Amino acid sequence: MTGLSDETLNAFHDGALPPAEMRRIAAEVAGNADLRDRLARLAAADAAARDRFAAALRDPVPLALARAVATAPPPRTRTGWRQTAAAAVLGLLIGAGGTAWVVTGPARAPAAPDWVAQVADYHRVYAAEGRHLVEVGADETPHIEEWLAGRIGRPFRVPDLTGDGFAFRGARLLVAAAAPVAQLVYVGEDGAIIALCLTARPGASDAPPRLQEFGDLTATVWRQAGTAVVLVTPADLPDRDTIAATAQTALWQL
Amino acid sequence: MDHSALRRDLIDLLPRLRRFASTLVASAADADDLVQIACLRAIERPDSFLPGTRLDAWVFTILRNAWRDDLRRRRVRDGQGTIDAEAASELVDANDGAAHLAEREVRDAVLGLPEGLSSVLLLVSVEGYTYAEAARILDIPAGTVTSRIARARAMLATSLGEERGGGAR
Repeated sequence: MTGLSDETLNAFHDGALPPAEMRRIAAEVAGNADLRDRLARLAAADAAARDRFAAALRDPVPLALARAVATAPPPRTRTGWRQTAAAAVLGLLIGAGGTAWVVTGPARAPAAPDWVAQVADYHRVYAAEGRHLVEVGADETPHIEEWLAGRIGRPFRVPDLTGDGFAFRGARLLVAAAAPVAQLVYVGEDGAIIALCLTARPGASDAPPRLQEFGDLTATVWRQAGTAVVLVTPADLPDRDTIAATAQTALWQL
Repeated sequence: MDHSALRRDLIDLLPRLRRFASTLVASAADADDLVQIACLRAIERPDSFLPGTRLDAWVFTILRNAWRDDLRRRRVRDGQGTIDAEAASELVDANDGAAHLAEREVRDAVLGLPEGLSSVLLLVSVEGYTYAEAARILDIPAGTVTSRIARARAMLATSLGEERGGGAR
């Protein structure tokens, strides 16, 4: 038995401790079966919470609520009654259309420009995690595909990048620019960590890969099959383009 | 912020806002009311959003504040006198002490945990917020996030054990 409190162990589980302490506890965990048991219990609780909360997400949104938000007038300081009235008319039109508006309404804005930057930030944080690199391990790949496809709303396959020297380690669910993002994490033979991140862009046209630099990281961004994809790699990774090409072919071989 | 883009983003967020609200109030109707109030406030005050921060965190915070305001109004209406916002959050935080629990056992609909625990677990384990972000959204000290998440997972793990018929370890 060790002196680690439940709170410390939870904070460790969540990666919420300073790096030095994370390393110290990781070393302690490695040599202590009791701590591993306790961590497994935390992971089981998380899994149960995620399951039940995922079910809560499938509960259909009442039309009245969606309509109230869709037709809410802009701030008073910038508008007058005219616009409010226009919004009310829009509400009536939407009402006449029934529920179909959810599908046929204006397409979602193509991506908040900063989602790639957020994904890069996440990469920096999680790449330092080591033990907690991923939320669900590669041994559960079918579950990952089902779970994350459900969360982002797009089916996909986890690409096999072993031909490019990268092994799949597992996945995480992120949220960037208010949208769920599937993060697939791979580790290279030399320990380099790269990630493929996917988020739905319904109706968006395909776009070829382009590069965005984020200091020590490079993001290769493209759109394919109604999905925006980012390959996040260390800035000096030579095989970036080959990996992106492999991913492009493999992601939708359903 | 562009008004129609904000409305679209809020509509996209509705399922997650309803889920968060369901960890704060007992009935689905109350949760939907809370979500609607929060969205209308967000639309009313777009300038309170800090560009470069997470939109969902902003709306979650507005929703949490709306819930606190509503709680305060109810207590006043129910003749329990006036209390300020700080006290309102303490009343709810009181489930970190046992006395409050015995008197008013409110459990959330999703996980069946005592009030205050489920929200923390949702924000950290499911929504992926850091402890500091969760603390800001819920307007509680970071240390309270740590203690609540530990209690939430412990209670959930115990109930899982009971469901399997094995009891807690």
